[in-house]
Amino acid sequence: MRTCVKTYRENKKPGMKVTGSEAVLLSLLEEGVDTLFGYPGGAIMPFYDALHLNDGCFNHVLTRHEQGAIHAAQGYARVTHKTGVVITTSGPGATNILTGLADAYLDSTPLVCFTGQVVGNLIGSDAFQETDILTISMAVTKWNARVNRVEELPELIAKAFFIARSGRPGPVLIDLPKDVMMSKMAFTYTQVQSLRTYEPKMEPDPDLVAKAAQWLNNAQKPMILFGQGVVLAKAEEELRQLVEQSGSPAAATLLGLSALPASHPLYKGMLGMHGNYAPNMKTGEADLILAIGMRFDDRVTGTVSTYLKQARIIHVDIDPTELNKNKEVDLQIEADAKAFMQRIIPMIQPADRTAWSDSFTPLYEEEFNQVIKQDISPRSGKIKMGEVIRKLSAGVGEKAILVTDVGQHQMKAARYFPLDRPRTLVTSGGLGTMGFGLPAAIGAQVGCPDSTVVAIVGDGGIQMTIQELITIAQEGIPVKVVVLSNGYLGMVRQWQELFFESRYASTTLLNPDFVKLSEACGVPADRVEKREELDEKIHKLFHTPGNFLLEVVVEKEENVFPMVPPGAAVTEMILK
Amino acid sequence: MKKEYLVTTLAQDRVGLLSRVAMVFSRRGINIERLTLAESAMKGIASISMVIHTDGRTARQIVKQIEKQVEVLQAFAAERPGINQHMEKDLQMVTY
Ligand SMILES: Cc1ncc(C[n+]2csc(CCOP(=O)(O)OP(=O)(O)O)c2C)c(N)n1
Ligand SMILES: [Mg+2]
Repeated sequence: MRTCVKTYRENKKPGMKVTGSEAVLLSLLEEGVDTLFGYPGGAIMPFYDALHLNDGCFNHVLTRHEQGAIHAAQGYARVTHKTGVVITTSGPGATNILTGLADAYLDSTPLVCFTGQVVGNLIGSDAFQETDILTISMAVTKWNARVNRVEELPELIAKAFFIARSGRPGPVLIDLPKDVMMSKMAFTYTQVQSLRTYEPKMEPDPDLVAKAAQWLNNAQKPMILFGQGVVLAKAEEELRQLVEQSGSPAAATLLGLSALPASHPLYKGMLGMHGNYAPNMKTGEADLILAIGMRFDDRVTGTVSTYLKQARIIHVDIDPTELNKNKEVDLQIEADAKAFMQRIIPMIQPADRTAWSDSFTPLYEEEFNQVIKQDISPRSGKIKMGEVIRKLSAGVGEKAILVTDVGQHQMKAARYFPLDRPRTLVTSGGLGTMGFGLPAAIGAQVGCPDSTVVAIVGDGGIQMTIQELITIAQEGIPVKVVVLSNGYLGMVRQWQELFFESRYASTTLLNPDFVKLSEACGVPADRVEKREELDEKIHKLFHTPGNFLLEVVVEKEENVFPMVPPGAAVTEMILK
Repeated sequence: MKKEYLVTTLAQDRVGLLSRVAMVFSRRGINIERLTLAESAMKGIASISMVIHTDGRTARQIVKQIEKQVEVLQAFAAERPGINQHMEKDLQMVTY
């Protein structure tokens, strides 16, 4: 009885008598979960006790902060297509995951988070470590629920997993009162496959697909804009076919990166504020825009009123609230990205749009000459972020996963680390959460143990979750951490320089000695300041077995260009 | 232009339903001027109707965002047809 997981695995008898905590474990087993990220405390102790008694059945990663646990679960979910699972205690444990919930909600990451709760008869009394996490998390969860009676546990967990992973994925929270975990029940589990009030529409309306195909076939200058919806639908192959069949140039949102190989001739780069010049400018010339699995975020559209004015727009998304939300479009198609592309591909007449596609090249060259060249191969001055990122991408080898934090280094990484394999970028897009990178890299590495996970983080952001270096050491997680130290909250400093007359209000950083700090945590580390030593140090980063932290001291006041200035149209993008 | 809308939601009743629906309005700073909540003719399905002031585009988005809540079966918004006290009464009746 004590090792319920083993017993259950062996004879899977429905109605097996277990405690609530054990029922949680068995439910996780039924959902195929083998990895948990969490942090214990009073209210969740019965669960941890059951986990301990079933030692070896689950891999539990103990982070050093609950925010670390949830970001790790996000990293894990994003590289594996699985649902990330988080365990925390009540009160502060629960509130510490809010940033991660908000991040996962905006970036459509499937998570199921279990929070401990005080015993049922104390709820509402301001008991020790009681917080109303259901109300607090309501705005940042796709769904949440408290388990009031132990008998409801399997059903609510099954529902939680179904909601988290289906439709537009997102975070779900289950609140577990302590007494429920300690009560006994007869365990039977059935996975949820549908809910009466929640039926994500996967299949597109055939008439709309036919119309979309006709518009695309007739277009002279079509452009495909794709987002993470393609990745979440595992539709990378369909995207490649659609792009090739139609000969349409294609461009990615930040979270869409890696859905089409960066080396593909029809891939024209990243959209948005710090994206590439050609695809942004060309959105002002295209006659047809086919937007798939993206949501016209304001960082992508610039000023919406002038965006895509001249084009017919088709918008495909699984989340109907995104259709006509930010951008009014000509054809709205509610569907899964994969289902949509599978239907439309056979209707696309092969077309040669070489002239249109080639017309992106001069703009690329302009960007190359004015920005990229200086960024990735500067001859003098301090080390630049761009050259570090290029060297990292060249040195990392085949199986790279790129994880970033938020700031200038994030944009430089998105620009200069070409991604050719699907699902190889983990970054905080919608929420822009500093502190995301280091813990997310832990989760990505746990999810893909054979990959080389490179976390590119800023000197500001790493200090928000730097305690996770100890997690990396304790778990022996072989991530490669690269801190790009500019001594500033660089992205904010850039805006101060450009839009606040260089008044650097509270953006100058005194940094700890990252090398000593990392070594004190048990993660070997080194620092590089001179260009001549960069190659050797990057070689050391990748060839030291296990984890490693490399601090690269970079140019202090470098800016990220090109840029769509706030309030401007994307076609007013500036190169310097 | 802001107009008066009657937003009606049909949803599986459970703890927290009203908060989840109300959240869609409060997030946008829209005041709920009148509200009724009752079980609909279908057992277990609640009908919530709310009167708000907003523009048409926002009203349409609100309806979609309410429908996005897992428990919600359907939501719709009706614009107030005319400045007429009786009409408003009739409109509220529609939901039962
Ligand atoms: C939690 C959080 N707080 C504040 C911000 C605002 N912010 C965006 S970028 C940035 C600077 C990041 O500095 P650093 O980590 O050093 O990266 P850099 O831009 O210098 O590469 C700040 C403060 C944020 N995105 N997230
Ligand atoms: Mg910095």
